[in-house]
Formats: sequence, structure tokens, C-alpha cells
Amino acid sequence: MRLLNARFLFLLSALTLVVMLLNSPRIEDSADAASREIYLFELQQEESLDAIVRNDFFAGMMGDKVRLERGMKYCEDILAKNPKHAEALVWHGGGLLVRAVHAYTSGDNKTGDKLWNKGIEEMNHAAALEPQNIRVKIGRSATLIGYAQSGWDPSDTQSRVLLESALLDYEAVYRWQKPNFRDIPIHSRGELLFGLASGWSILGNENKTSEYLRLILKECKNSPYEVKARRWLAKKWPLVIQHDCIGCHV
Amino acid sequence: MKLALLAVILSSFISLTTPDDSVTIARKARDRGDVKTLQAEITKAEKSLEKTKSLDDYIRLALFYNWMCEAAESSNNRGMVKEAAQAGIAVAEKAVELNPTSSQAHQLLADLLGQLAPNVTGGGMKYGQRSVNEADKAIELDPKNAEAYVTRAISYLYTPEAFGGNKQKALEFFSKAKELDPQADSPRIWLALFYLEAGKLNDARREINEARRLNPERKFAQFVYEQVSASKK
Repeated sequence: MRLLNARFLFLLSALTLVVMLLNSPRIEDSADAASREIYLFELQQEESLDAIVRNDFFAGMMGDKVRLERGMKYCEDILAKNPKHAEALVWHGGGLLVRAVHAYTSGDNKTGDKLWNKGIEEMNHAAALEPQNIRVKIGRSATLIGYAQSGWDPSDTQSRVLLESALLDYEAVYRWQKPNFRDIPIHSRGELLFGLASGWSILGNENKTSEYLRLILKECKNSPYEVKARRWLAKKWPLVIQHDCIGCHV
Repeated sequence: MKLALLAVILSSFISLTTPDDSVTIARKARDRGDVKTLQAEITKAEKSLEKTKSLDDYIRLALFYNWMCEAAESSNNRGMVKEAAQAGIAVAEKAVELNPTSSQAHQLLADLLGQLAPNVTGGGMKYGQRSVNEADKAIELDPKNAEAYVTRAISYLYTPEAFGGNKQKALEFFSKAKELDPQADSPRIWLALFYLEAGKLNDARREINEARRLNPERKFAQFVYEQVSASKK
């Protein structure tokens, strides 16, 4: 009987979306000191969009529609000037999902479905525009993994494809960050790896799930993530890893 | 000839079945995970509803769909849970529309949304808050509706804390449901689950044993009992 799992993770377990702001991009292996300096300078400049809109979007997720609309407006102004601004698109797509949630909550499923599909479409478009942009990858993947955690229909083939692509992107993020992974805050490490373990468990991939839980033991030693990972590893397969963002600032 | 006679007797028995009998049959079917019998009761309830369009019949049908979710879960048929929840939501919405002050109608809508959420991709995001709102409304309309406290407690239990989840509140609401309806098994089954997850095995054992005493046939209770027993080892 599946009743123990049946009502798991109500609401926006897309708390993992928070990862998108906490996983600072890292340079790749080959980067030398000079390119690192340039990279960090560029990063400071680029961070402005995240810095400006993030709090508004999270307030929106918590139900503050005024602040959500302010964040959306900011992205829309950017997109009016540059419709191919991938980061604005990924944030805007996430905002549309929040609008969709508000519509579903009011019982308007038709509007909810429309906004939901449009939000996913924008996120996919952003990823297609800049496939190497780590922020876009994280934003899209965290959202897709988060919503899969909040409910999953195994017969929904489209969602399966989306979740797989999100997980492969998250794996790419891990590969890019791997050389400096220990320098990244524990929260970002734990959320990234738990996102991978959870997503693969939803898809029924025992090997990958176990691989990432073991990686958490190594990369998040002496942290609450290690404790949680040990608990999950002690359980019998099949299972769906349910993970709430630890120490989330929302 | 004898068979034909038996068929006549049986059909007249069926036609004489009162709504109360039907609820008893459906409840027992839920307990045993008997999807076939529940489906038959749903069909009968739908026919009755076609004629009466009454609030009572909408509520009865929504209740049967809700029970169908549990029966389907006991046979791991997620597709059937989803279908039953979706059909039940439409019926419960109609009941709420007919009488917005019906606590039971709001509670059923809340519970059915909760049943649907885990079986739809993104379902928690889509239906979680609405389920919470409906359960709150049910309690506001009738503060003695024990089922509504169970429904709300389940939300408290499984919602992330940042979004209103609260384990202490869950315990409080399950306990309130038990206090309001001491003969009901559902609050005790959920309390057992709560205690099991909290690692309080003695409390879990006490609650699940009492739930099984009150209703020995319910598969859900049996399932939780097995979980508690396995944890003991």
C-alpha cells in the first residue's frame, strides 16, 4: 500500500528553486587566475538580475502577488528590449508557474494549465537559447525537479522527458562545479546533490539515486545532509526521496 | 428456474437498498479494498443523482469516490486513484456550489484534492493550497467535523514548514478529531502514522491497535500496523 507516500510534499516543494540563487556558478577546470578574475568581475555585473528579482519572486511564491508582479514586470521590461535574454526568460517562466499556482488555488484550472504550460515553454526556450548558461540550467532544473517532487504521474511521458533533461543538466552543473565543489556553500552542495538523488528516485533509477546519496556522504560530511542521506540509504528500494530544502532562507 | 428466482430476489433486494445501506456497503468495500463493489455503488449513486440532483446525493457520490481512492491505493492502482479523485472533485465542487455552507462538501473537496495531488505531476503545487483552504473552510463551518480535522492535519503533516507545514499542529488536529469522534478509526490510524514517523513506537502501537479494534477489516489500518510492527524489530 502506498499511503505512506501518497500525500507527500504538499505545495511548493519547489523550494529547491532557491538553489538557483545559492549555487554560484564556478569556472571550469581549465580556467587560469586571469580568466578567474575576469569571470568574477563579469559575475558581479551579471548578478544584478538575480539580486533584483529574487526576493520578489520568492515573496510571490509565498503568496505576495504585488511583489511577484513587480519581479515579472522587471523581467518583461528586459525581454521587451531583448526577447532572447535567457536569464530573464527562465525567471519569467518560473513566475508564470507561480501565477499558475495562484490560478489553481482559486479553482481556475483552465487558466492554471495555460500559465503552467507557458511557464515551462519559456524555461525550455531559455535553455535552448543558452545551453551553456549555468544559471539558466540551475533555474530550470531546480524548478522541474521541485515540481516533480510535489506530485508525479508515471504515465505522463512529457513530464518524464522534462525531468530527465533537468537531471542531465543538473549533472552537467555538478561536473562544472566539481573542481571547486568544496568551496561552494554546504547548502548549495546539499541541495544540488539531493535534487539529483530525488529526481532519479522519482524516475525509478536505483543506481543513480544511490550514487548521489553516497556522494552526499562524501561531499556534505558532518552536515544535516549527511544525516538525511544516511537515513535514505538505510531504506529499502523502491522509494521516492523526499527532500525539503534544509536551512532555506525563504 | 431456481437461478432465475434467485436473480429476481437479488434484484428486488438491490432495488430496496436504501442510501444508508449503500453507504454501509461502500464503506465496507473501502475497508477491504474491494474496488468492484465500490464501483457498483458509485454507479448506483450516479443513477440516483441523475434523478434527484440533490445535495445529499452529490455528497454521497463524492464520498464514494473518496473511498474509491483508498480502495484503489490498497491495490497500488495509481491510475485509478487519479481517476476517482478527478471524478470526485467535480462532484464535490458541485456540492459546494449547491450549498456553500456545507462543511462536509468542503471537507470532501479538500480530501479529494489531497488524493489527486501526489498522482499528478506538480500536483502538490497545483492543488495543495486549495485543499488546505477547503479544509479550513470545512472546520470554520463546522468546528465539530472530525473528518475535516483529519484532512487538515494531513496537510500540516506533509507540507514543508516554510509553506505552512507544522508537525505540532498536525498532532493537535489528529488528536482533536479523535476527541470529537472517539469511535472513528481514521484519526487513530493517522495518529499511528504520525507517531511512527516521529519514532514514538509505543504511541504508534497503541493508536493502531485501537484503530484495528474499532474496525478490524480496514486494509489501511493493517498496512500501518505492519509498518509499526516492522519498525519494532
